[in-house]
Amino acid sequence: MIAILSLGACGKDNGVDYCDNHYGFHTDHLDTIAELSIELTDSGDLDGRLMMPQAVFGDMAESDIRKLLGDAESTFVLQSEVPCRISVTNISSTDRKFEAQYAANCGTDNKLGRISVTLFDQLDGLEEVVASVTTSATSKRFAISRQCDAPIFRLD
Amino acid sequence: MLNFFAAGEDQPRLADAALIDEQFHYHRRNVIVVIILCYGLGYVCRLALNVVKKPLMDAGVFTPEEVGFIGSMLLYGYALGKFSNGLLSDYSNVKRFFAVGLFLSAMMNFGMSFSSIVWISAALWILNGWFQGFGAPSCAVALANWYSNNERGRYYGLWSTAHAIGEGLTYLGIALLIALPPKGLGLSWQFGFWVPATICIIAAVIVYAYLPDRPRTLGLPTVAEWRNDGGEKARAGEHNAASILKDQLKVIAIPSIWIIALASSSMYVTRYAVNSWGNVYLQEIRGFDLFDANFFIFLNTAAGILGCVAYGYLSDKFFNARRPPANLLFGLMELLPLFVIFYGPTNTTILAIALVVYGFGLSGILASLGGLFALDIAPKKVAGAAMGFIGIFSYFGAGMQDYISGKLIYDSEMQVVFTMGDSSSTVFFYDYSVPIMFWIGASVVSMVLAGSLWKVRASD
Repeated sequence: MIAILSLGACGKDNGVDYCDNHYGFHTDHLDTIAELSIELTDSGDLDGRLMMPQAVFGDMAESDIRKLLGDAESTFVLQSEVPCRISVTNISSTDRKFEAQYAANCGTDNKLGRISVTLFDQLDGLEEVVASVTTSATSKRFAISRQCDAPIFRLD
Repeated sequence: MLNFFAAGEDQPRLADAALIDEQFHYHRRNVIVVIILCYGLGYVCRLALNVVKKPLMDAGVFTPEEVGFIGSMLLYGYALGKFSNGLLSDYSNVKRFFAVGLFLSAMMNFGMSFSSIVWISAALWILNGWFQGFGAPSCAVALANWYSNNERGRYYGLWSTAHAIGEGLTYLGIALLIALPPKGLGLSWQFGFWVPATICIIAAVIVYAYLPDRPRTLGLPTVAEWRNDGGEKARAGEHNAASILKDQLKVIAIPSIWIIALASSSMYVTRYAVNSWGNVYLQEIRGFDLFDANFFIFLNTAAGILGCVAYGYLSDKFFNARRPPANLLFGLMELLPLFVIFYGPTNTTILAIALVVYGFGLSGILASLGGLFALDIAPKKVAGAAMGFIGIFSYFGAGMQDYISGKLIYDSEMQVVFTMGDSSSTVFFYDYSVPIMFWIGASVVSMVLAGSLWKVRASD
């Protein structure tokens, strides 16, 4: 029994620790973390809010940033029984942050099976997204990091 | 090979009454301790998958539907095993039968830790179910051989605590291994199979060393003769294979047994729904971590220990060995908390209390529907067959539940996928509202069926 247990108790390398115990590293790289919240309702409404630190855009001009954030259908690919569209409703910015809001209505009888988020593909400087997703049944908060294979649920 | 499992020959009766008393006291103590301890330990090998379900789903090894399918295989295998092994156990030396079942179940658990292919896992798990089915009939036969009619309710109740002990050990002990630090050791999901396998091998050794064969094979009288239990003495005849088979067939001609079997089957839907998916529900929907979710399920099973004992005691002492009034009482204690668990306030104390009351009521009603009620009605020489008959219904119900629940949960799946070039990271979201209706509805059906047997009395 002890031998079996000891097999799994071997030391982990730094990469695994970073992903398993992420809360310890979280504050070290706040300027490269985006925040995403998505709320889905029973009536088929989707409300999204994305907050991006300026740093993740690198040298991009503000007009290009607004163009990128405004292209909702490239950033969020919705997969449902009947296709439905997502659009940006507002983009605002402060000195160090951009905020974009999105909305979609897929209808009550149109099951939304997947939301694909392509932010990492579009922004090389983006290291991590902390996401809060709320459905009519549940709510989850997690982080997606370029350095980790799986979503990180231990944030606090 | 079959000779290895066969019950021993009857031996010439010992003449020394004091020695007979001494032997009975010694073996009866061993029987009750061994069947409670080892049946409980054996449960760990049956439930291992339940604890690692969410890690398997989160890691993308299996979808909920696949996990449900694999889980259902164990229950189908168990149903078939419990029935066929129930028939065989009436002829067998139960210590060998039970010990081999535990050992082979351990091997299946080792195998599961190396499989990420649905069909291989399903094959291993149906075989595990089959081997797990060696246990209950062996214990029922041991109880029937060593405890007489007018005391069996209490001892059956005691033995029924075994499953609660095993469930508790799994949901607390195995969860402790898998849960992330600081609550758990953070070991990989494979340990959720390796450690149970080791435990089952230890249990097999204990059974082989300490569980006795029938009293007559040890030169003792039957327990009914020894205890002068009038209700059973008339049936304490020779251990004849032809007469056993004839009596076994009589079991399926008793309408009440069929109704008990259906009621038990429905109750097993709820039982295995909460045990198989309850911890996943608590993690997915209520946001608890793996350790806390399994701790809540542990509370329900720990309360079940008291529920079993209380059922046997109450039905024997306060209802004059009539099971139906006790069934109603414990059935309500099982059903009403389900509404609190799934639709009640989110307060964790209330959730914990509801799970405790649910576990108490469930274990009581299961002690009855899962066998005691049938044992009252069926001829005692074929206790294994009666248990097997109820078992096949119960576990087919539980098996169908596991797949149906997995399918319903999977149908509600919504994925949020973050793409990163060729790789991606996915978080899964599920809705349990439809499965919950299915689980509660099954309990209602069970109560109605059990209630229809209000006037049925024990054959004694």
